[in-house]
Amino acid sequence: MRRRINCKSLGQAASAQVVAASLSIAECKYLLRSDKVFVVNPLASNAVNSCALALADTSTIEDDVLFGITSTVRLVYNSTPVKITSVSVLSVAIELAKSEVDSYAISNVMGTHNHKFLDICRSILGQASLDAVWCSWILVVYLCSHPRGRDILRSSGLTDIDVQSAIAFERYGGEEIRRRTRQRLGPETKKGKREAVMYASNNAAAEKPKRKRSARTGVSFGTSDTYVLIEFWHKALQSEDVSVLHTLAAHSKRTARDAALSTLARQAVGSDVADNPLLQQVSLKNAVKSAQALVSFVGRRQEDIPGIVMLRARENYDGSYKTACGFERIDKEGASTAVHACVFACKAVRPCRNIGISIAWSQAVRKFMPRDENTAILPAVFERMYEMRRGVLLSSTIPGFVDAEMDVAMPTDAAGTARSFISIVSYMCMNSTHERAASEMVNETKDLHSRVSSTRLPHNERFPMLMGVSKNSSARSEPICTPASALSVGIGANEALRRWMSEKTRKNNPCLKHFGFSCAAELSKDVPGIMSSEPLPLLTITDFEIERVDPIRRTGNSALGDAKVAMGIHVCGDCAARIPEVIAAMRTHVYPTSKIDYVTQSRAALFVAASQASFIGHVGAALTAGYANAAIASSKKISVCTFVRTLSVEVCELALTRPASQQVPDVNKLLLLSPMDCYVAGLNNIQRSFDGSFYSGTYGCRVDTGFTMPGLYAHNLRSDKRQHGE
Amino acid sequence: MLTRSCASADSPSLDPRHANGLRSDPPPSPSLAYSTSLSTQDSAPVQSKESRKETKIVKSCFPRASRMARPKNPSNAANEIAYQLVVDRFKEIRSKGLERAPRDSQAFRSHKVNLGSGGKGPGVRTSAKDQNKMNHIASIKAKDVDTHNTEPAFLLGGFTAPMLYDRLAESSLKSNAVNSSVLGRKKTQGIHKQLSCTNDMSLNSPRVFVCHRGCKSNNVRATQTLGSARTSTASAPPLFAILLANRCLVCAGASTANL
Repeated sequence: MRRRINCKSLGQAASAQVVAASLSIAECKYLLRSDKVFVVNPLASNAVNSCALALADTSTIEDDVLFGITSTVRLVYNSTPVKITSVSVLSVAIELAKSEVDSYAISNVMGTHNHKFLDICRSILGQASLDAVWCSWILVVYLCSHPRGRDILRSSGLTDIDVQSAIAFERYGGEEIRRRTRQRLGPETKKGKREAVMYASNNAAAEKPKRKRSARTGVSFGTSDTYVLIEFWHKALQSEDVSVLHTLAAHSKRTARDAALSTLARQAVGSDVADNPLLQQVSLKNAVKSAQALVSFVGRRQEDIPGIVMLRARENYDGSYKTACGFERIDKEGASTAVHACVFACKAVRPCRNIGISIAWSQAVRKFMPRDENTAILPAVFERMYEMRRGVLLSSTIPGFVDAEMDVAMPTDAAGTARSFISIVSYMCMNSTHERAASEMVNETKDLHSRVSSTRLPHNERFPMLMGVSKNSSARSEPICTPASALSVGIGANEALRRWMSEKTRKNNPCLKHFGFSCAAELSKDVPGIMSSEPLPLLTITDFEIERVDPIRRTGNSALGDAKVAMGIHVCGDCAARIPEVIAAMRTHVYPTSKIDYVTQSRAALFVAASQASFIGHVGAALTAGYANAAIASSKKISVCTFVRTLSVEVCELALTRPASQQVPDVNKLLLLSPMDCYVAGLNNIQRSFDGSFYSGTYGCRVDTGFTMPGLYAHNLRSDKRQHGE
Repeated sequence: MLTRSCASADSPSLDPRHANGLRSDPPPSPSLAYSTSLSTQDSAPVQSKESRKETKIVKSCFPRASRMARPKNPSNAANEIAYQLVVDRFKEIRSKGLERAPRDSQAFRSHKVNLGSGGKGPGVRTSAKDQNKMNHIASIKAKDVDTHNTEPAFLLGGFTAPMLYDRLAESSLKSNAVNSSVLGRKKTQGIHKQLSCTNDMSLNSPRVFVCHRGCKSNNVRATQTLGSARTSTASAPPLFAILLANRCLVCAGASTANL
């Protein structure tokens, strides 16, 4: 069933939304800098901004000059905010339910009113017995099903992620209920009408009400029936199968626990298995854990939104202290951040300045380990390290403070993880919501400054000092993520590819020849996972930053504008170097000694880069086509339309070949990658494959022949040859 | 991406020593190879031909050695020597200015995926007639929402990051479907049913929108409305179009969906 529910749309929405939120913050910083406000990175005010590397002239900087860059120790979605406000499904649903209960605001707009919908609204407010989380999702889906409902949603502050998650969970829940009802009612329902099943969610199904005319108008294709939706869910949430839904998500722990025991009892009917305390504990734990994990889809705390930080920081590393502002992207960002000691890519493979790309290599990493909340916002450790390095040892307690607030410094070899930082100058499309969100944050920054300006400062300022943090959700509005930028498409594809091979092994792969002397039992014992032993030819994006550069360019009276941005993309790879520079370096260093070597190696690099670029583009498109894949898995019709995307600066689109009402949006998405987009990089900590052979540990990314098409969900390439279907 | 290879690019098949195949040179069994190397060591006790003939070799009929066939515990003297060797090695490392990596160092994390399964055999005992059911329920309850959260070791050094968005949704749906699966189904009852027409088509299919203001055609598809402003919208998730389409971005005026 999972395959038939499109969760990929959630990832697509998330990738676009994180870029939109970051772009709004970047615009805010740009506006502040334009007003001569001192903007710094609060995690390390003397660290280099990875976005700025592409703007600087790095040709005169030597290869061994070290500088610091802060980066997350987690992954891109964990480190970047997806929203800048605390608006959530639950908070919006409560407001909407209140307006419905008080003044029938929704019913008046939707054109229908019944007591079942009122029950759902009351449940959201805690005045009825249905679960508030599921009722909230149903309310969102209900409003999505009608154009005037979408009008209400648009002004509510919800983002696409909220809506897509509501759709996915509503669909899963509905199918679980329907499937169980069908199984319980027996085979006679197979030939019955669908409505019979839908109304048969509880035992009172016999009293099937007369179906009313739906609220839809106009084009009937693809529309949903809002009346049936409410009718179905009102009964489904009171049915005996509702415990299945509550073990997934529930408003309270108690509901989840009750549901877990109820589900267990039904599974173990006819035996005393359900009385086993160990099973009960495991069931309870699973249900509570699931409910807690899904809180991020329905609720959002005020602390979770990006914060505006006011602090005192040095100007130009060792200048005088000034009041500065910065942004805390996630709550307690310092606790999941590390500072990398970096150098520029060596001159032989350093891109020219006019290319607009600059690369830095991490040599060592040291993770922040803040002991309290203040140092999680403003660690002020890297500044102390700088003072120590300058020889201005102000106090003997500084080294102790640094050691206490940071983990052990580890070179890349020992850290097990490799990072490179690619800075790219590009253009991104901005709409009015981005600008509005940015200007609201500028106002919030000014308010914060006026509040903290009376803070008493120490006479002798030695280190950065936190003055205040503002997280005023009510003063902000959410940016809309349309049109999706090339960066968001890249992040979406990157996340889909990264976990493509999880939990898969190449067990019994007939194409792999084992050269060692092992018996069959040993062969099957420690088969390396594909994910850890055969890395994809993908520079995994672990973090990114955006800075705005020049004023927005507009064409005519267009509401959209092109904003010049500098992006800092943090990737997992050691000493990343672009293929063009690598080939140019070979001409300089290999050609004089051996022309044949130069030709063969350059040609090999070019061919492999072209193959890998094609592979990533092909598989990435197959994996991210969530709507097409879900439609195929659900035996629904799809029609072919053509969308072409490229990860280069400009994004292009070919003409649509079919009317919009018949299209599956993502049936074809070509990334159009080329060797110019490829990098040579190394990885640490790869599990050895071909152990016992001469090739042990020498293999990196496999080169795909391209003979096999990826297939649905790229299963043709993911198969472990065990005839399990995938 | 190309990874650097630290080995020679020459294929072993090109080596003349392996002309007759790789297995021709070493002995066919690793155990024989081990015994051969021991016997050829200078320090190994040399047995006379006669005594070797007298040794009676019994071939075990079991595929592997008994677990009870363990070597003798090392003596105190051997332990002390080993301890001293370790201490000396630590001193040597420290004298080079190197620090011992912490125990939870990322570089030395296991690559093994912890699937959290119950393992072989009954984890929970119950009466004999219900043991099968108990085993089944215990195995399906062994999977929770975090079970499938794995990352390659080269990315986060063996650690994992909290799952979010599509991955969290997929994982939670998967674990919930397994945890609350229906037991005791009849043969005629399938696990999966074809989905009926659920109400998400309204979101998945782009709509026709009518602009009330200055657009030329006054009947503008959502994708075209956005695409004409900047030709990049159509491949964005469709809800972008839906949420935005009620505001025409060509003329920046409000428009209404016409369904």
